[in-house]
Amino acid sequence: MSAVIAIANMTGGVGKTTTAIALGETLATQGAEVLIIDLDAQGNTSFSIAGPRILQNLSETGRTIESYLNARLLERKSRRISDIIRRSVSSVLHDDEQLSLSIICATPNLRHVEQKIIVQLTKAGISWEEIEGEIRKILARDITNLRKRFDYILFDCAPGISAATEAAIKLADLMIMPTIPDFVSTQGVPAFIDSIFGEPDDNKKPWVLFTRVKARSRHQRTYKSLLRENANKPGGTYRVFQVEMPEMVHVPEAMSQSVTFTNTGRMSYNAKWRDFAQPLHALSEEVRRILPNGCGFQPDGNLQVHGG
Amino acid sequence: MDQSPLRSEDMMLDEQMLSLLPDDGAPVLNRMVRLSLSRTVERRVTQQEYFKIRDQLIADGKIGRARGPGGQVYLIQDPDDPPHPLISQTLPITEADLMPFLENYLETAFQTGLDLPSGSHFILEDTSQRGPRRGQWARPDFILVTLLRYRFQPQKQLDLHAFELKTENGCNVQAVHEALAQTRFTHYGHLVWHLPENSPHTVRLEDIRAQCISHGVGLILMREPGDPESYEILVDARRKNTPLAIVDGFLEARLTDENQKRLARLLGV
Repeated sequence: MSAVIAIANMTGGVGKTTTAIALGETLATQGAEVLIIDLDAQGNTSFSIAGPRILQNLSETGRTIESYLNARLLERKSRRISDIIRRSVSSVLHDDEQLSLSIICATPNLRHVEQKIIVQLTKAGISWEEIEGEIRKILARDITNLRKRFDYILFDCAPGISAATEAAIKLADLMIMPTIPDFVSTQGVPAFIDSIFGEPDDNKKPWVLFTRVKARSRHQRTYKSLLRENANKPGGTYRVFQVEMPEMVHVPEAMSQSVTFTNTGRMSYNAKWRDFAQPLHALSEEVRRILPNGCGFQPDGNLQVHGG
Repeated sequence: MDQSPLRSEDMMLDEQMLSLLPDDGAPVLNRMVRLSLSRTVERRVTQQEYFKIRDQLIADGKIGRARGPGGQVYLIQDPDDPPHPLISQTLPITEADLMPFLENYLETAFQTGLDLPSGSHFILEDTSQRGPRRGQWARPDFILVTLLRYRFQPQKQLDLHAFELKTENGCNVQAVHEALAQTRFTHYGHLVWHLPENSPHTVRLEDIRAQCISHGVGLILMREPGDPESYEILVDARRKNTPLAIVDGFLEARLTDENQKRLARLLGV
């Protein structure tokens, strides 16, 4: 059975997009069929994976998440989610084969569509909870169908709280909360969890993933310990991944869509992520371990990890 | 070569493939073309499919095959047109060809970039043919000695740089280690790589650059050998604390008698 994973945090700039792309590509190197759904109007995931030419084409032909939400919620038209999936989109190779990665793209128009949804449905007397419930109902039905075709469905959620983000989190088998272990980034963790779940059930507790970790920072060590302690306390509302994602200078470069005919330096997964591939593979293993039984894809165990 | 006729879907793929190749006839790696084809048609194009179409297009005279790791293809336009400069038809440029250009660069743009205080001195020596035959990675192509004079320091500071020159297709991670090994005897190690703009060997640049950063080896890209202004210092070399006795012995073995006397005179010994 496939696994649905939401990558979310109210705070911006903590590594949600990087986690979504890097984890998606890592799972794909292990043979899994991966779908990434971009729910962020900034469209950074879409731009990074699809590149400007494909993204423009998808936008012009209405194959975006906002076009789908607009059709389903505002125009009340039937629109299949499978029609907006862009397949074979990855520009990354592993063992000389293209990664099995598909995407549902978002563009900045998503912001206008979300605003329109809220304005129109609120005018019609529908509450925020009902709007979120409506989106969740629609997505749930369509995601159920997609579960048969993909091993992993990853939602890259927008910072802050939107109805689509909330629906994705509630649908997910696992919520990953990328967090920089510092004062500013950790302040919003309890508030975000409370706003989504109140007190989450054990199997719904989000998992905090420390990102941009600097091994020598005492400040970060303090906040990592604090969050791990709080997670382990009775009544703790979240859990913390064992693996930590280090800060590496080449990760922002890896996120840029820079593979062209004459610059093929980052064509392969290992060349793209380099030393970051090791923690990524460790993260993918931990994700598989903590997913509910039977969820996700089990690789054959012959993983090729760069570096060492 | 698979000679079975192309199916209609293959016909569509071959048109797509032709539309993907650069109009100017620049060669593209086979795996890059196959990846782009998969992205364009929204499904995985297998190696078998790709090579069947590619071979048919070569047989039809629509595309050509170029050398290179992994193989490359390019669009054929007018057969009378000269080949694209990225398609190597001429003999490769050797290190010996590049040596005079590097010497000129070190004496001009590089020296200016060092921003030596006034009263400092600069000695450059071609050491590519000097030094022990059996010593591994102990013969830099050039060494450069700078003598720095500071305003409030009684003594002069001697810095010794080593330069390892590599051709366009002769540079790899091992070359970084070669430049690093030379810092056993010097304070700074630099790798100089002839890498023209748009060179297909740019694929190795990121790895080589990362290794240089990691080991403190300088990386200089020689874009247009004859134009010192086109050289790029991509990574600055870090100074090593090589023992004085080793630096001394190395200078004695590598500098010509004339330069040894000059250095001794400048040092006042």
